Amino acid sequence: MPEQKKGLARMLKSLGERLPMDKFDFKHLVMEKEVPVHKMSWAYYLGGLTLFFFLVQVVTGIFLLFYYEPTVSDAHASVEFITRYVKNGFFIRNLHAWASSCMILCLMAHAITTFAMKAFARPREIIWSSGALLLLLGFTFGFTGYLLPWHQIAVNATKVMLQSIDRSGQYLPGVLAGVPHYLTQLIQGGPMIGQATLSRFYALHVVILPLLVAGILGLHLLAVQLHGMSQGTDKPTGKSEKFFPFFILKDLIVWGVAFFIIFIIASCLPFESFSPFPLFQPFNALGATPEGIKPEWYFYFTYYPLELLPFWLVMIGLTATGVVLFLTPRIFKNTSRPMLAVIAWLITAYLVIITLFGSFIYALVKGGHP
Amino acid sequence: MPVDPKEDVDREERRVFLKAFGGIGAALFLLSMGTFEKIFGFFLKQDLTRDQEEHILSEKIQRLEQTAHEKKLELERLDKDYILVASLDSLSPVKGIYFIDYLMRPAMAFCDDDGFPIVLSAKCTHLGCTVGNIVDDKGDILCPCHMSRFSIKTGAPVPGSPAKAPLPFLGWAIIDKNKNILLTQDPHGKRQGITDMDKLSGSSLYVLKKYSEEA
Repeated sequence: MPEQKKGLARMLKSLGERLPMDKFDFKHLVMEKEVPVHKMSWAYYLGGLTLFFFLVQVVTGIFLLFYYEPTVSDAHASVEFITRYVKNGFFIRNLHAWASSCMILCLMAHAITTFAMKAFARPREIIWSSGALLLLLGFTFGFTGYLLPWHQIAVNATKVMLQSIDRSGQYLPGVLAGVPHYLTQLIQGGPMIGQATLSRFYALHVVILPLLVAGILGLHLLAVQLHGMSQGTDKPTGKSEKFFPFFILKDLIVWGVAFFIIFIIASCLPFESFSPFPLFQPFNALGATPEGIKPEWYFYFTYYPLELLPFWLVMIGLTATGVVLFLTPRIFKNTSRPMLAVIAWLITAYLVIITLFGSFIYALVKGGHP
Repeated sequence: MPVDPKEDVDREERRVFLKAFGGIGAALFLLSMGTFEKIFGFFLKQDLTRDQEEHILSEKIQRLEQTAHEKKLELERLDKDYILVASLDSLSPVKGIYFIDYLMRPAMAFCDDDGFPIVLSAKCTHLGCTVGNIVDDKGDILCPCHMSRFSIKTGAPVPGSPAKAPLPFLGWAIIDKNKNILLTQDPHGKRQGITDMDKLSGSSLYVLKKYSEEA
């Protein structure tokens, strides 16, 4: 019994260190909060910017719900109706799509800079882990939202993604081998992608994921507020600025500029202008998959390796990445910030190269297009 | 009278804060005006012309009919022991006819040089896209997703394709107008029945539930 009590006390102490609720008062959260000033200070704005784009998505997503019809017969037509006939519908839908890409971009940049600044180190593990979960949820948002317009690229890209999950079973041992198949069936809801899949993706996209994000984001923000901004550098400049009102004001300026930019882009540049039109025709179950089926750009980091390398190798790589992501506070506990910065640069270089030049690399290696 | 430096800094901070607050406030006001205009219009009733309304309704009906057709196919696959693919005479050696198999997956039918049907799954064994139905001069069909090529004679992927497994063949039957089964072929290629093409002419190609259950 005493051993159990000791264990419980240790656990509570550890939790208290990571979520110091004694600091949950106006003085600590607002009056005394400071933001360090150094050459990486710009990175402190990325979390807020991600939150801003998420809020844009929530608002525009709610607007779209007024017209969107989640059935295989009407989904595409309702999206077309929003785009062509609803006043400013084109703008709202475009804003939703552009904000999703901006959110993922900021989310990735936020994760990488947080890593480089070693802002995951004790006692900030909860901030990092909840952030990693939010990153995965961000990708899931993209994945589920992609299917909703029910056009050729949406349904076929989802098919490819689900088939990839299904196929990963052959590399798992014993009873685990069947798990991806069950998972695929669970997501798909039927023998092929159809109404059941659309309903599931819709429920996930508009109810379940937002609720999950709200909960985890709440924990993430609470932990950030309780701990304050991380030092972020080995050589503190000794300079800092008040979180309230100066940093908050600057944050709002950044949000305003971001909104202005995305407002202009959403007004002028259709999100779908980067792919050929046939991909946006209604899904046709009785026809060949059209050329050029690809996921959203933020999945290229895994899509092109799937095209170029053996499937098992990519599966091992993805699993290892997931494990490292969640165990970062432990794995890189004793790694210096300069070394973390080097790793962060390498990750950034990989992501930028594979995203911008993946298609070119594919053509070089395989000849032709993926 | 000397000014207290701390008081001076405080005053300066206040000035910066008020300026920034004013600037941001004005910018937010302008932005919100533009945004409000967009939002307000979004919820207004659509001002559609008669042509536009007709177009929307006819497209809606067309898609509902397509969905109803797909549901009928699903029901047919539950109810019937064999389902029609196409008339035997309409099969081509260079362009496949798509249909939905018993498992609601895409499949296609060609004919060989002698006119006998070739019926195989159109679901790419790489990552599940629907394979194209045009046969090239080497006798192959292409999956446009990841450029896997398959021979329609063997179903096997052409070496170098991302797909490694062959497209499975489906068992079929040729049935005449009086519902007599004239010829069957199981998924392994074993035929039973009349093999004289002249006698089969005018009949239709079906896929059988029993072969799908065996598979």
